[in-house]
Amino acid sequence: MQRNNPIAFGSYFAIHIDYRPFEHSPLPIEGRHRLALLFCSSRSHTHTNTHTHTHTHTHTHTHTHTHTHTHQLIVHVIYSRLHSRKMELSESVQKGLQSAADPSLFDLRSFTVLTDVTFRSLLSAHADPGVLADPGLENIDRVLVKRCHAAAATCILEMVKQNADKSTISSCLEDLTFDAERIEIFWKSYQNNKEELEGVLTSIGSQLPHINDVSWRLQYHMKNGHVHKVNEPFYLLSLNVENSGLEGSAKDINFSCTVEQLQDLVGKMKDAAKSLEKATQM
Amino acid sequence: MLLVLSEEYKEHLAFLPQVDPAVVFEFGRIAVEFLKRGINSKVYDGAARKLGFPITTVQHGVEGLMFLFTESSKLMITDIDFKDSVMVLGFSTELNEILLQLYVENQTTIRSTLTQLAPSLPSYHNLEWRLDVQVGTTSMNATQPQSVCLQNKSWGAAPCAIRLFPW
Repeated sequence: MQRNNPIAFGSYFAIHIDYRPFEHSPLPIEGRHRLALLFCSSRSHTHTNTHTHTHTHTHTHTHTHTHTHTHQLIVHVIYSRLHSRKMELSESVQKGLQSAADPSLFDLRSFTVLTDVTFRSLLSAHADPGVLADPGLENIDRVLVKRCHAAAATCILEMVKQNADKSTISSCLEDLTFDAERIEIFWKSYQNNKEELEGVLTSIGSQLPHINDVSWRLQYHMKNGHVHKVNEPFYLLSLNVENSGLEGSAKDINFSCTVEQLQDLVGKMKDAAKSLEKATQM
Repeated sequence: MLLVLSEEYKEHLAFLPQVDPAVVFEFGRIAVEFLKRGINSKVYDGAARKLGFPITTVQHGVEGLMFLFTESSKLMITDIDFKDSVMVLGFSTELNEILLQLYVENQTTIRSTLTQLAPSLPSYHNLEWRLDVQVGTTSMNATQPQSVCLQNKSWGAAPCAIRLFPW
């Protein structure tokens, strides 16, 4: 049995992972997702623990196996996140949305207001505590409004993330007892704001520091303490680097290069640009 | 441009005319070797014993020659100037010729050795790049590639990317 084949004979156990999907969002998102993973240890694994601990105490066991199986775990997570078609919404989100769909709690006008307010609050740069103080939502219980607002925001972000089309959204909302009118209102707002939301979500996350600009300076080296009459020109290059991650702006890359080295640098960049062009044409 | 040689320096080199020109040539060669590879004091012992001079004299002599060559290479002195500077030391013409020959032969190597001593700025070494396509992140599953990255790796710098936005 291959070491890298996760499905094998031997003991197996299930791991439940609780994680918060939108950690960096400005809103307090209450949704949680659960991923159940079937995790099999292969027989060829000679670790004695494998055979003795079966079907028990998943948490203590993960520690001993984290090394060998972590990469498999990550692969499973990534695979399922990238390819999941169904909208997975937690219970509290579903309940909140069902309340929003209920005509006795929210009439059509206040539902429209709620939708608008939710989209607006997702797109605004700063979290505004007064966002739910809209006059259209006056007569409704404050706690209920907050719950529905949070549920709607979670749902919207999940839809944008998975780039859901109209049928997916409609079927999802229908399951949550939305009537056709409300689905239409929701869909219109969603379409109007989708692109901007995509931009917001794309900008979240860690990235390599990236280069925006370059500035150059040509200097002439005449002499130094050890050698006189050097008489060589050289360039000082400064690559302006921006890091949109959490660490703040990274330092610029400064280096010197002779004329030949600069030619080499430019040549390599041209190669890279050419290969990029070829890749885009394919 | 002439070299300015101090009195002390002239004293150090004073014993050179007393030995064979071949020995002077040998000392010159040793001096250049030391400039390239570093000083090896065992050579001083051997030479001192063979010639019957005290070690310090031999050491001063070789070091004096080293100084002569480094200063001349540093200032890029022409042959004529070198000859004139060496004449001040009061050596025979033959000796001067030997020294000049050594200087001319080794000038470039000595200069390149000296260049390594000079302070240097972080300089470009190599650029390695690769093309990456970002397919999705934790917060966004992209249906089409959102951005394409080139990664630069210059000497002394961490990898960074050039982000190209979708075509």
